Amino acid sequence: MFRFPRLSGGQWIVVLCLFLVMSAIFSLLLGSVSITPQQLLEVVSGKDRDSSIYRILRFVRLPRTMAAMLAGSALAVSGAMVQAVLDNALASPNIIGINAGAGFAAMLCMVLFPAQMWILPPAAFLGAFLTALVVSATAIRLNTSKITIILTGVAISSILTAGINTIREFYPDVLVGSSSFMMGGLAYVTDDHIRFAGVYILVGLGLAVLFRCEMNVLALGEDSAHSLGMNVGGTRFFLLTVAAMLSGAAVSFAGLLGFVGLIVPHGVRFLVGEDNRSVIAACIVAGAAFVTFCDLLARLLFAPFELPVGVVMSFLGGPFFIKLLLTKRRHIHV
Amino acid sequence: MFELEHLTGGYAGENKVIDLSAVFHKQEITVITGPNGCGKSTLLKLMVRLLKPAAGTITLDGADISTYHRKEFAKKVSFLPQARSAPPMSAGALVMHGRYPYLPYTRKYAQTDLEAVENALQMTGTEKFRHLSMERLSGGERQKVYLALLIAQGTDVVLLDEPTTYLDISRQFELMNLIQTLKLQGKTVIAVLHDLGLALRYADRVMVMNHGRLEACGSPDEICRSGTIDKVFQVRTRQIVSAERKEYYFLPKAEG
Repeated sequence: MFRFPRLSGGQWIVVLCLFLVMSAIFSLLLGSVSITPQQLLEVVSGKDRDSSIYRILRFVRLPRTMAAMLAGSALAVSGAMVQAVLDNALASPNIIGINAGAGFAAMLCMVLFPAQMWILPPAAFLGAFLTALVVSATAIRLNTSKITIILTGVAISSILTAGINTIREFYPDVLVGSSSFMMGGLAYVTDDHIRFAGVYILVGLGLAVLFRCEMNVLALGEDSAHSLGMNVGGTRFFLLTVAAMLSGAAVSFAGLLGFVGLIVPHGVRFLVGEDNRSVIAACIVAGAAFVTFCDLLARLLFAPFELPVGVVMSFLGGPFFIKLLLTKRRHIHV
Repeated sequence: MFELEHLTGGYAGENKVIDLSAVFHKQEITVITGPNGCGKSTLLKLMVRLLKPAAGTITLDGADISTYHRKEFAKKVSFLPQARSAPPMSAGALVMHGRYPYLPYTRKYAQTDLEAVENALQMTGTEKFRHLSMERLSGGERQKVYLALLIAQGTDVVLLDEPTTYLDISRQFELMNLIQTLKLQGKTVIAVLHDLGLALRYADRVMVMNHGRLEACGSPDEICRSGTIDKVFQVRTRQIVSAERKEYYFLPKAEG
């Protein structure tokens, strides 16, 4: 039976990096047209500038691979941050409605301003941010059980999903492959999508890395963090804003990819421990690797047909996640 | 030195501390005690700025506490809150957080930070738990690790909210002895304690609160002789004078 090898946190990050590099290379090479490593090298070295191989790599595979990596990192880190801020292991951007908020705002913009691509990431960010604000304001106002936050998020999420579905009913043509948007898919990603959203994601990841120490102090609880001189309210608000920016940007091009924000942070904690300094770093790598790998499978499994990456992710990630929980449980009892 | 003048405050709309004036002396253990809901925890929260006073002032070393910058205040006053979870981190990592107010923007620990943490771990005898997760430690061990965090924070004033709750009797003594060591090192300790026996045994000064007001304040001996405890807690205090010191025990109020 499959066992998790015993490695240190740093070693796991190296393993994850290798996994990411492998997934990215295969994601460039494999698809409806297979590309050989030699052909890839020729394109990379600049020898090949106008063959069909070049065009496939440059305009299809590269944007798609980049999109998978960016979306994976963004959603995984966003999930880890939301969990730290709300001090709740069940929280993730999709469960508390941040993704739905982003999706709703993005959909609305596609209807209102169909030609303006650049508007999607900021709109999705705004949608995600407002949702995060409503959820955390409710959490602070109620100040009771952790489960209340989740219930609030689920309620808000279902309202926003209803909004998304309403738009889909009235404007069925607005979005090519809207079912892929609902499940999360990368089949229609272009250069332009990533150029705009990528900036938001890179800035968000940078901020997450800078403030990873703050997330650890928050884990001590509100009163202790306060007495150590932290502006708890301000820090929470800021971290939640960054988390919303990350998932908003990812949703703007990848659709409602949900699961990754819950499963990657938990998986990573199991491997590298609970210290957010390692968790954030590992989430960046593992999130990117996981989504890239799932997208690769989404393309290959039923070729020439393609599944939305979200579907593969749930099929693959679900059992893996349950296995993790079972292993972790055994660890705790020993 | 902490000074409270006509302090009133509590959670929104409900003042749990009413018109309370007191002075906390340097290098003493002051124990605040009183029946459930008398406002002792609220008083500590007001003193560490978790709550804002509705009226009155709190001064520390001559300046109103609201004038201190967050980090500056955290270098002067440390606080052990009542609700203590076992956060998912190792004991060593937890104690390191005591240095948070001293960290520069890069969040890099300097040599002095590491030394302070080392010293705190040694003083509390928690070096051996350094790599263990807080979740695996017993209640008494956890409490010592939390105390190590406060020691690493290096403040002159240490505020403790019910540090001995849920500990067995020998762990309670261990912890109180550790707190006494802190006093001997020159720290001012202000602790809320439920346990009257411990309070009278370890305190230099006892403050008895009731319904948000300060009922009495003085040395353990003065407090006992004044009969405040009997009145506030509805008990009968009995004293045993042994060779080296006075001990107290309490009986329920006579029936009928």
